[in-house]
Amino acid sequence: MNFREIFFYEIRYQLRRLPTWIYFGAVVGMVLLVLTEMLESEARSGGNLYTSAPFLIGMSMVICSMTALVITASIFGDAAARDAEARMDPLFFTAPLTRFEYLGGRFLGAFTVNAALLLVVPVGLIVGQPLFFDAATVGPFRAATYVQPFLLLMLPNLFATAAIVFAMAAITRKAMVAYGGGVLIFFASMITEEGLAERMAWKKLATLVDPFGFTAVSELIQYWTPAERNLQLIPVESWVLWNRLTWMLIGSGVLALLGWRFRFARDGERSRPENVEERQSCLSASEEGHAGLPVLHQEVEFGFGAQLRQAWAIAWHSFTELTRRTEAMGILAFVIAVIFIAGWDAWTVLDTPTWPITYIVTRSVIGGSVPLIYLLTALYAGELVWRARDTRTADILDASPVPNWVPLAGKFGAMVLALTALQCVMMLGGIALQTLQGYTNYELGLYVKILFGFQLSDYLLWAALAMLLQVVVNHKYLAHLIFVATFIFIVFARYAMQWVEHNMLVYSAGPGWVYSDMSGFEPFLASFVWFKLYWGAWALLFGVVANLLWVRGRETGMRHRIVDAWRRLTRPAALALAASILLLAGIGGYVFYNTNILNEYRTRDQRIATLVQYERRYKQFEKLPQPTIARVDLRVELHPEQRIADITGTYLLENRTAKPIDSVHVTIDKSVEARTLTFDRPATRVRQDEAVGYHIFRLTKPLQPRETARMRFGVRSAPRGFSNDKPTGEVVANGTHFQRKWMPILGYQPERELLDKRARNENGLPEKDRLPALDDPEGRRISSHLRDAEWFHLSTVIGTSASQTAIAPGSLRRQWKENGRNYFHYESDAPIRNNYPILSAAYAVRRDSWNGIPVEVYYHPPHTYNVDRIMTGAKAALQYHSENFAPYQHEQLRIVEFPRHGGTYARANPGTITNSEGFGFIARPEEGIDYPSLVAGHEVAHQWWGHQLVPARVEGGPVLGETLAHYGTLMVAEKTYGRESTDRFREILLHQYLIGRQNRGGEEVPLLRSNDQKYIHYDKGALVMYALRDLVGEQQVNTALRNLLQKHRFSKAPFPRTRELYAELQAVTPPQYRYLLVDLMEDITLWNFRTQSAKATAGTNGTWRVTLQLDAEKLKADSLGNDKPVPMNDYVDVGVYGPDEKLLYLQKHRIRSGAQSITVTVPQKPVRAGIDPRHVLLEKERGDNVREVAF
Amino acid sequence: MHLIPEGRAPLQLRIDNLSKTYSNGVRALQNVSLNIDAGMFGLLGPNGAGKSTLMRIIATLQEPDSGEIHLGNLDVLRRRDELRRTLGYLPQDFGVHGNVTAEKLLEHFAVLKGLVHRGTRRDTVEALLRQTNLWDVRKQKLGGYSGGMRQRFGIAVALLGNPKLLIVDEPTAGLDPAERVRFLNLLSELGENSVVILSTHIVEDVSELCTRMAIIDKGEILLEAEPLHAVAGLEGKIWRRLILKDALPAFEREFTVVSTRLLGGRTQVRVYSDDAPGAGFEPAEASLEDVYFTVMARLRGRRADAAEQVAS
Repeated sequence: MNFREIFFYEIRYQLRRLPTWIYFGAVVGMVLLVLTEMLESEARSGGNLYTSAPFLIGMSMVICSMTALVITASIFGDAAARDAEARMDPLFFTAPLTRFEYLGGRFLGAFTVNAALLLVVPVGLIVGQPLFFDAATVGPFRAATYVQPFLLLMLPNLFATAAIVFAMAAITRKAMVAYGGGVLIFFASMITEEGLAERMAWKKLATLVDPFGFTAVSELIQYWTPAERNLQLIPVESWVLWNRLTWMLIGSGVLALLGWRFRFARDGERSRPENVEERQSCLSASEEGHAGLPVLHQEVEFGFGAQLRQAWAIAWHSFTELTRRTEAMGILAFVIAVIFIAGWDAWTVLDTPTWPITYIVTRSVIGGSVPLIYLLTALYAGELVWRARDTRTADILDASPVPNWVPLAGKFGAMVLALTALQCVMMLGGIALQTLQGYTNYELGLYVKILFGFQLSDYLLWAALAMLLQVVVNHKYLAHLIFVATFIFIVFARYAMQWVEHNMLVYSAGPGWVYSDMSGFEPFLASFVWFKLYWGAWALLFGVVANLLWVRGRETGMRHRIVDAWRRLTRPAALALAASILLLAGIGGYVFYNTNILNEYRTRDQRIATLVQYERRYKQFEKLPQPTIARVDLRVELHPEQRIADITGTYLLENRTAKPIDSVHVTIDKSVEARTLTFDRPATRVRQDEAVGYHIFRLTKPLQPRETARMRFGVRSAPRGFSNDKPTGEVVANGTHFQRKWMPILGYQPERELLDKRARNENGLPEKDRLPALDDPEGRRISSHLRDAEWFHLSTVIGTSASQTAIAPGSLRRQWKENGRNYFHYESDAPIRNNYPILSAAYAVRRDSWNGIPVEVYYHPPHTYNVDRIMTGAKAALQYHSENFAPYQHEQLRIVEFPRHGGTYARANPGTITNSEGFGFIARPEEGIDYPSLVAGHEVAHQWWGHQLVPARVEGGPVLGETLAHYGTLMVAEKTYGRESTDRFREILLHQYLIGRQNRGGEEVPLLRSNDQKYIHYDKGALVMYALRDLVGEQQVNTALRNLLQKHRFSKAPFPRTRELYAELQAVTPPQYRYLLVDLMEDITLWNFRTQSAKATAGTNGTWRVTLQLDAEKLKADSLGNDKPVPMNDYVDVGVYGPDEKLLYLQKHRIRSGAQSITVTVPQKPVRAGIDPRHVLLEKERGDNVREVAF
Repeated sequence: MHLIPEGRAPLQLRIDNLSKTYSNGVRALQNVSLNIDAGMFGLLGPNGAGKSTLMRIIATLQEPDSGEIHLGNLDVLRRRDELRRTLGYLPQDFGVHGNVTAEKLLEHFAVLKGLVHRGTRRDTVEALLRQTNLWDVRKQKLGGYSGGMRQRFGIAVALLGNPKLLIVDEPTAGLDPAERVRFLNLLSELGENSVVILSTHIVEDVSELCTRMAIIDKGEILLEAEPLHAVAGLEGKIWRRLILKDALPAFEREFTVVSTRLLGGRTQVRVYSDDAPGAGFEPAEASLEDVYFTVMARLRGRRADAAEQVAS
């Protein structure tokens, strides 16, 4: 009876509370947001998903679950601590109630109300979809789509999280603690998402730990194709099931613990030290012993110096109080946990971590905990501003002889101290993490710069805003709400929707920065500092305003406060106000001068408009015959310290068409300043379109077929102050790196057209085919080169500062000093593609040679970790490819490091490989795979596949580059490190291919037609070639590739396509194996193998007979991933392993569809056996291929 | 220029026509005028009389709608910062930071009161802790203090910085009798050359301590007097009698009943009368309580009359 009364009272009470109805509105808003933002973009971007796809509905519900945590914290915090906070608890505790009735009634009552609020989500999604989208987008209605995830995800999430926050609030008797619990749960889930789930090995743990089941669901459905996503409910099995059980158990356990620990008594009563009473009796005795006021004269001071000391006293006092709070240790422990979880493998590439270099550790520290710190900042700003009033000491303090700015500055000072302390802890945590990983180059200075310069300044700006809000709004929770709303609005408006693009309009924003070991904080420092100063001026103004509106005394009405503020505007206050406004205007003016006057400020729409203009105005010239660049002579003067590049050059233009050419179309990139553009024959500029950078020159005397002309140009890149955009940083003090993009381009280039589908649509441009169809009759005439140049000669003279080495493709012909500068002259030693980088930095060089050809690695001196591996990979690749396919065409090979702000990639240029500092140089291959050498091998392979063989610009083109380069990489690795060495790499490739099949924004095509789908031409392509090699043989496959290359070496029209590759492969494949070519290249095929059982019996002479019961299936899928079984009769590996994974047997057997039995004989006692044990064929579920052998 | 007289020159707090109405219509103060000289001044009144509003206005924490306050030549309402330099204030309801020791917190307040030099601050803090008998427990956290210890700590805070004006708002509320005595003893030591205002609803607090007093109710000053004078004025005019409880209404109609008290199952009434009120009454010794209740009873009478007039 009591239970029912408490239960129904709780429901009635919650329904009468205003917040409950505000939350109702919030949930409706949440559903609207999911409908308009998430479902819409998810469904449309794929173009092939229903908005009612069960996994989308499920994920929407998980996101609502996470967001609704705030509501749960509020409802359950209130239910648990309301009585204690209203000091009503003695009334309940003395009533004839059991703990179970009291807590159980409260919990279930609140649970009912909260669950009812959450019910708005499925109902809203059901009702809302037909209103927002047409029926074809929504898809067919099925009730289970909504009921199942509600029961499977939302309710258990609510139960587990509610149990935790309820227990926390009930034990501490503070509703606020529930919010803290909510924040912890939220970040715990974020960390499992971002920290744990990053490495394959930790995924299983992550799926269990995530309280919302998000990771488990995404893990379980990761290989689902669009078709499966549209139809299948989230399966209640494996990870999802375990995750749900875990959290139901945790929730129940927490409640049980609460029931056991909760006491019907007030903690305060027990905590007073017992000896106080005792001491009081002593007091009475000594009472008579003294008399009179202190005669002592108290020396007081009220000057500015005294006020400063008072501010400091408040700062220190408040800070020490913060550190004594019960949750302080918890926060520190949590922050350190974040560092270790998010920072342990902070940066992984190809499932391989990098060394814990200081900037990476700080980045993960920053990345992992920043939102938490913003929230904590706001929370503690509130606590500090309200501290005196909350502890009822405000009257005493307000009547003290200190001006308003003293407590204000003191409290802000406490924030500074607290955040500084936090950063110190983070720094120590980071150093501990580095030490534990055996890395000792701590770079303390860098820690200080990042944590206390870049990061702390940002935190303090937010702290200032939070304090201003607390003072102005003068309502703790409302101010928190406004702070969070501001924060979310900024993230949403600036970064998600790009409504606001100018950084001067987004609080604390700036163009952003990237640290590089090579270039330090350049070129990001200036804009960072100025924008921070600008926002600092705002913060100062906030301070002045807060000082005027600071609540002192008991008069808190707004009218009164304004009158009071006016009265407080005395001469010094007015001067401070004027000074801060002047400062703001001054700095703001300077920033604006830089972003909008020195530099052109362009919004995203304006940038798109430029691309649209390019296409609208000049698409007509796409087929216009243009001369081809036959030779390029460059003179590049680099001034790295001033970030200036002066480039002059000459193009030798040749008319390789059959008709005279009377006009030359030249495009100059907008990011450089075009200085000169002249021809060695009379020409008039008939069009000068500066907005697009398009120029048309009419030649007085047309260029006849085979005739040549020279075009001279001068371009310059020099920074003018700083701009609103993140600097691209091509020329920096150390680590200059730029590509051909800055040089003039001839003719209209469709590659430069606007790509974004939606933007094209909005601007009325026709849909753009990524590449022409495979069998496009025109296709073979055009190469995948930039079309203004084919094989040409490059000569480059680069001058740079005395400490640096400059690099361009080709052999170094000469090197000299002039005017205290270093000069280098490079000359190409073979015809090259129209793509060449220019680099300059203070490099260390590792020199080696292969077959008399120098092989050099240019690296940032401290980045010695993987130079040997890179060298080994490169040389092995040179060896393998020249042995098997064709000679290497250059007289040297260089691998050159560039700073990571240019990107994390490696690129093959003629004889010169550019490799980002973040892509191999700091990797820890021993913790994963040896990707530094794989990457080097891949890029060397491109010297053949891409720089000798150049495909036609049609579908499948990238296969001739990337697939073949990846195949070469695998072969080189197997040759160097043995057959098993590529297993892990292939596993990653297969995983990436299967993930890619979920196909956000496209449809799957067979390998032959891959165009921009990296998961096909890199990942699947490599596996396809590997599987072919496995069945047909390495010699045969290599013969086919060699034949293809021989026919198209230094390709000219007609350029090769995947058709030609296919024909060559077919030629070397025996007829009984040709089915595999069809399966792998013409169709989308997947296999499914399963070993039901493996039994062994002893044979003669110590041999063993192993009998396998197998299941096999072969599936062909369409572009959406609808698959259907097809009859199978394929060659598949059957393998038996002995102790220590020793391979006892591995042979191809004919395998049919369905169940079958195979018996093999092995010479030793077997341990495990199964089908396709090395995962050569493409398969989703790979865990059941091999089994322990039974006897 | 020193607005506040230095040394031992007499100091006076003048309150002129102070009025304050809250936004909910409650008239907390109505034309309150008082002249308060150095020494202990008691402000007596029931709960909700406007005592705390008056105290907070003097302590710069609230603003009147109209009226003036001067301490010596200092215009309190316009030069609040200067008043604060010489103000000691013990609010009616104040808290402490429970996890800090008394010594630490007193030091902290001392800095805020202008005692920025460590040496003199240390000495002052020690002297005050000794004076308030908290020296032995100075290392204890304030969360463990009893109500009386906490009030004494409050006094120590209020005494920081040589206050010329000391405002003590309802300091004895909630103290047990022993604590109350201790606390009043402490108050009684406060000096003669500062203005000390003690507000209370307990008559004994005033009678035991104050040289001057005022009675306030519903925002109006009903009486301003010296306690001894006021009591002397009632001498011979207070009569008492034991009656049955049922007879009380009749007595209330017939006499000016000052107070009633249950005594051994019967009711003792005290009435005000210039002459002997009749049989069964015996003369009683006048006390300050009688003064208080007489004033309050008169006020009730006046209000009742006014109500009747309005009704007719």
